[in-house]
Amino acid sequence: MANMTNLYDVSKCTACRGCQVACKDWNQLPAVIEPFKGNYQTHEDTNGDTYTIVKFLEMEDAYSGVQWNFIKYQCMHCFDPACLKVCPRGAYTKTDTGATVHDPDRCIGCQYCTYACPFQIPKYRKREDKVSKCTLCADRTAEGLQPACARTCPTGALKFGDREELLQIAEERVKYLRASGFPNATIYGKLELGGLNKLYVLTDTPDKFDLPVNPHIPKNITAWQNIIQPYFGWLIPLALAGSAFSFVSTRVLANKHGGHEEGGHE
Amino acid sequence: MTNHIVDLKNTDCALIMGSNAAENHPISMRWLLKARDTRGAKIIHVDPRYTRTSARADLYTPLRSGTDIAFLGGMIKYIIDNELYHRDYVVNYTNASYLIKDEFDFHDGLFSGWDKENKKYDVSSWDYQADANGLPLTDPSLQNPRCVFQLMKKHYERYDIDTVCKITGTPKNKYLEVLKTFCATGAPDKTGTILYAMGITQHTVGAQNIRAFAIVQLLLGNMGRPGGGINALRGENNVQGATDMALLFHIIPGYVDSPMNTADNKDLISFIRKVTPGAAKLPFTNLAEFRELVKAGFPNSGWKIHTSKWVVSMLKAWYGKAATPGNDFAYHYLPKRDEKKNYSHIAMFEAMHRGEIEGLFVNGSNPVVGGPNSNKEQEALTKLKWMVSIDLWANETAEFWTHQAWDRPVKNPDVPRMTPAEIGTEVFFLPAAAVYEKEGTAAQTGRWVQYRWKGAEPVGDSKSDLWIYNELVKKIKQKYGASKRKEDEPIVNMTWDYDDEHGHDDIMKVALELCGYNVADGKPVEGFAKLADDGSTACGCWVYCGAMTFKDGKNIYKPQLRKKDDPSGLGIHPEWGWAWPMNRRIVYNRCSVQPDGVTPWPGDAKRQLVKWDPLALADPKNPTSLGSWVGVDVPDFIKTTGPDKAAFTSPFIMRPEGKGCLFAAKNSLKDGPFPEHYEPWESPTVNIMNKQNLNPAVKVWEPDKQGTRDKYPIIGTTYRVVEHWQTGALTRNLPWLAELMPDMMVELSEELAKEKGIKNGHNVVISTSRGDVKAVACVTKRFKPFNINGQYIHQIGLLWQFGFKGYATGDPANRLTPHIGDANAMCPEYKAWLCDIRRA
Amino acid sequence: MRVTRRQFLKVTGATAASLAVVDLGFDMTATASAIKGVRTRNVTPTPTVCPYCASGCGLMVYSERDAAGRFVKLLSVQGDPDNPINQGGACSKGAAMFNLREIYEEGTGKQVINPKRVQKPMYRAPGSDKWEEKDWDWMLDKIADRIKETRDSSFIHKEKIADGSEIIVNRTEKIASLGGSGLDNEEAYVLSKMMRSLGVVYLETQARI
Repeated sequence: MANMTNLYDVSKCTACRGCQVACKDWNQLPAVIEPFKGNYQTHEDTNGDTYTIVKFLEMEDAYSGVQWNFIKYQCMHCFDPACLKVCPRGAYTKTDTGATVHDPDRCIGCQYCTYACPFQIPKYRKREDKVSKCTLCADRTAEGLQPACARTCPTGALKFGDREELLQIAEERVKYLRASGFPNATIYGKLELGGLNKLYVLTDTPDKFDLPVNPHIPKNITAWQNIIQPYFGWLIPLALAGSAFSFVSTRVLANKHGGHEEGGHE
Repeated sequence: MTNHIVDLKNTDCALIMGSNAAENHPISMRWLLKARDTRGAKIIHVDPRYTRTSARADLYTPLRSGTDIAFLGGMIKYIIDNELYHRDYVVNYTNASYLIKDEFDFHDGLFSGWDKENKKYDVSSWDYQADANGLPLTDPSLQNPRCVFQLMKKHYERYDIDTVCKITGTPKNKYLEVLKTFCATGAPDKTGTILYAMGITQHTVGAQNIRAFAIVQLLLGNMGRPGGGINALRGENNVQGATDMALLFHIIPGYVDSPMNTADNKDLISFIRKVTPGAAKLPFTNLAEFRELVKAGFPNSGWKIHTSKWVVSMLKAWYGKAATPGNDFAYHYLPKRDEKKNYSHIAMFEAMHRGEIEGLFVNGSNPVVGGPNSNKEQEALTKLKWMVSIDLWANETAEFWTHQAWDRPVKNPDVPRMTPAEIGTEVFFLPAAAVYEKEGTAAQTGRWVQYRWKGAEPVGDSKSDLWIYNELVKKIKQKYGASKRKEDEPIVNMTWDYDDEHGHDDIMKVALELCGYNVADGKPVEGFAKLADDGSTACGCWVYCGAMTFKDGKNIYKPQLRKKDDPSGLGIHPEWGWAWPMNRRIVYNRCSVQPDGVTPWPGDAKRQLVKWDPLALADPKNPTSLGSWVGVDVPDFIKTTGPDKAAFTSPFIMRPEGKGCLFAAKNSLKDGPFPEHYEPWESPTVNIMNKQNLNPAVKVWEPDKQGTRDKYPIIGTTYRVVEHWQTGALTRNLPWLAELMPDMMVELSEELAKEKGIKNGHNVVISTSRGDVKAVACVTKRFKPFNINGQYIHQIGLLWQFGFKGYATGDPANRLTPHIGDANAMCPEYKAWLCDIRRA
Repeated sequence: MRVTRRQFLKVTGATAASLAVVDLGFDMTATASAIKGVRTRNVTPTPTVCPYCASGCGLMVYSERDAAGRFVKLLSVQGDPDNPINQGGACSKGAAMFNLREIYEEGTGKQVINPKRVQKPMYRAPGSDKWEEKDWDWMLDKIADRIKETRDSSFIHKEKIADGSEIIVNRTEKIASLGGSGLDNEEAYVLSKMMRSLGVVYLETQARI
């Protein structure tokens, strides 16, 4: 079974955020209204009821003048997902078309996955005491429909299809962009973390789009996983009682103290 | 739009000016990006601020708000100086060769005919020289100094690049790049499109801004061709249809001037004489005589020679049996507006503010947020006796009388504050069904009329607007009963039969009347060419005639067609919905072929839309009707006009002269036959192009409210974002959209922010001579200060989509904007005014 | 309703909803079983056109219907894949059309009618600080009274004009009408006809501003 994925081409995105709303429409997600803080990107990050966001990045240099980069951000559906590895209840599965799907019925809300993810994607949903994230619309694709975000994209910046075919389109597009005033154009998701089931065509280097240049899963996460895995049946109550808390709080502190590398951010 | 949305894919270059297409018409970018991918098209964005449209453009350049004519005047000069115009097109399809009266002149910013006392122009000198038969004199060599081309060249001599950039603040190198890129579409095998929106129209020179586009596009030969045109991206889903139906004081349905209280409107014959071009001096005293004249044809008339048929058919539709040849088809029922009065939006609120209006209907509109000078407009509402608001939501206008409605961020003695107890207006709120809880048609910006089916039941007791008007008129008719008073006849005799057999409103009955039927058998009239002025046809709006057809024993409403085939590959989709007029998708499409009517423009065979076929039958049932215009689009031309007729090379059939107007003759416009740069009413500088600061033909409503540079040094403008729509009533009440743009915000440059000690996310107050609003600061690199003739000038921009109701709330930016409008269209100058900004 | 369920499936890519074998060329039946709450079956699509900007993008309203075809529940609103203007696309506004009628409540995620929608006619008496709910008949009757009172007391039937003659002008300047660009053509048409027959000359729509 081939990997089915989205190709997202930033050079065609107008940041209309149709994808962000269509995702809510399809996945039946309520709005999370936060105050305006001086950037069009109202949500600084995804949250339990917001699986995808568009980031707005303003920059300026003497050569290109002002640039406004937009990027759709959501679960990358990694070939080798850290969330799946660390989940003590096996709530995560990989579908045979490459989507990383989270089963809320199995989820106990421990949130290990939210800290293990190199892209910090799974988010805690308080109203259900569970974690949630993008499913690559596995329910739709199973019925032969495109994911809601790809279906709605007005400009064709988002395409859904066979990853191999999309990769070819991406290679061609990058060639074209490099010849058309974007010498740093590149593909993201082809090789990162051994391959992502999300492909990006970028007009500039990944850092200009707030993407981790060299994402990786911290070693201690997998180590933790190896320890916890054989015992998780009886460890869970304990983990909930204490270990998980210390694990989580350690991670939070690490992040606060410039632990970007551990979190997978550059 | 002269073209349509899908047609954007056919362009070689798009100039987006006064529009933020990516945000306010997102789907347009689908087709522009396609043109870039498949044709190598260039996208140019000209705007005071770098937006989401600029981010996807190949070329972005700023200009100061309100200086479009300077920018485009320089482009006209560049095209002429460098001979980049499409010569064959210009000579044959425009009035470039027409000679203008010797009395026409221009000095110190004033055209000839200026009447200083009455502050208006006598337009009699703005006219063609004519021969003894009244036909215009021309010089196809374009050398005669009185020909339009030479006069135009002279007019724009002053618009050199240095002067233009001093006015607009555009960097010279960027300006040159725009000129070079867009004017390359003057090549016969290239077309360029211009997209505009309210950034162009909402100025005291709004109509002239668009005239400047027209001149550029005619010179470059871009009108009437795929990938070309002047494309107004209209803002409301059916603003086109509402205009077609004449929900405007100055017209009746189908773009006929509305009658006035003057001698030349006093009866039907006088009215027909007045509104039919070329009919003024013709000898006729009744419709029968006039009919004969029309049959024979008379000069300087164009397609509007048929106006009598449209007017009489409309009267027949409205007044049925009461409209007879003996009573002028009840022409006298129509209201005659006072010639000396203006009834446009601003004038309406000025009159309301003076207490002259008792009752107001607000049909899905929200002037407390969207009206200019909305502090004043809100106060005007308090002087009404009664108001009816029809909407989905109790919006800011419906609730103008609440405590909340009078909250202001700062105490300002000039701004009224009231309490509910002080407001005597009786308010009726009628809950309307949402778009997909009812059915009907809408005309989109490219004139495609599409059907919207009903996908859900109305919420609660809400009702479709059709139900509401239908039931209301039934009530009104009941109240008037069988009144015999003369003044009640228009109501008593108005046809109103829209119920089906179950007593429910039947939209197809309305549609049939709107599109036209034969009085004898009630069958649809198959196109406006078949309308008559003898009472045998009834048609509510002639431009929609042809949208209803009779086939296989039943009426087919063509907006319901859903066949998506595109045989030409040009995006015409002839059987998807229906486009007015007569399903023409690109108007003036006669221009897509050379004057001989057969040969495509060199190298552009693929974009030829129509041609003259001497062997085609004009009437399939008549084998002798040899010779007809045919093509992949419905020809926007009289089908039988062949090479033997003078009009064969006159593609602009609605114009009396049949040509595209580089020079707008006679009373086409009130403020001049050529666009000229004037400063906005509130300007930070003086006009260096001529001696008039403000467009002289503009009416100044509130001279005491003109903000000056010493007190208000910053240019203010307003605009929208993709996440909200118009006044926000239909989006701020939607949680998914409220979360994307949750607060009222103002964008300002980093430089200005530094000067004022403002940081990103700070609360700030913006003030003008009309009021103050609070907003969240969005400090951005995308706004830059302008260098205007050596002065360092800031511009800021506010969202005008906020109010005190909904999930996302904030102050209406229109509390700041002035009550002044364009000289022709009276469109308010929302886009350029003076203000100041400070930390809250 | 002109579009059958079969057409819907065709346009959205599925050949038969129950089989999940699709023209993408992949059988993803196995995946489907892992997913809860499938909302892709037994839906009725109804085409409409977006009520926001005038681009005219087609939208599909997906609803659940009972056996008799009566509306039961709104499911989703998405771009109309057949419409040549947008080919299935919808920006944030178009994609949010579900919210025009219904929302998912923050905190519970429950699907409810958008609480901001007004569901009953409402009346505000002069000087009052609150709305009162009224029925339609009462409202329309009162409005018709107001129209008649104002019209009749302000109506100008004939007027003397510059040349000294008298003409019929049939107008009132005391009633004004604003808006209508969000109406369907048929509605805008009857509004235009009604206002003009009442003699209204202060007749304006959003096209002006």
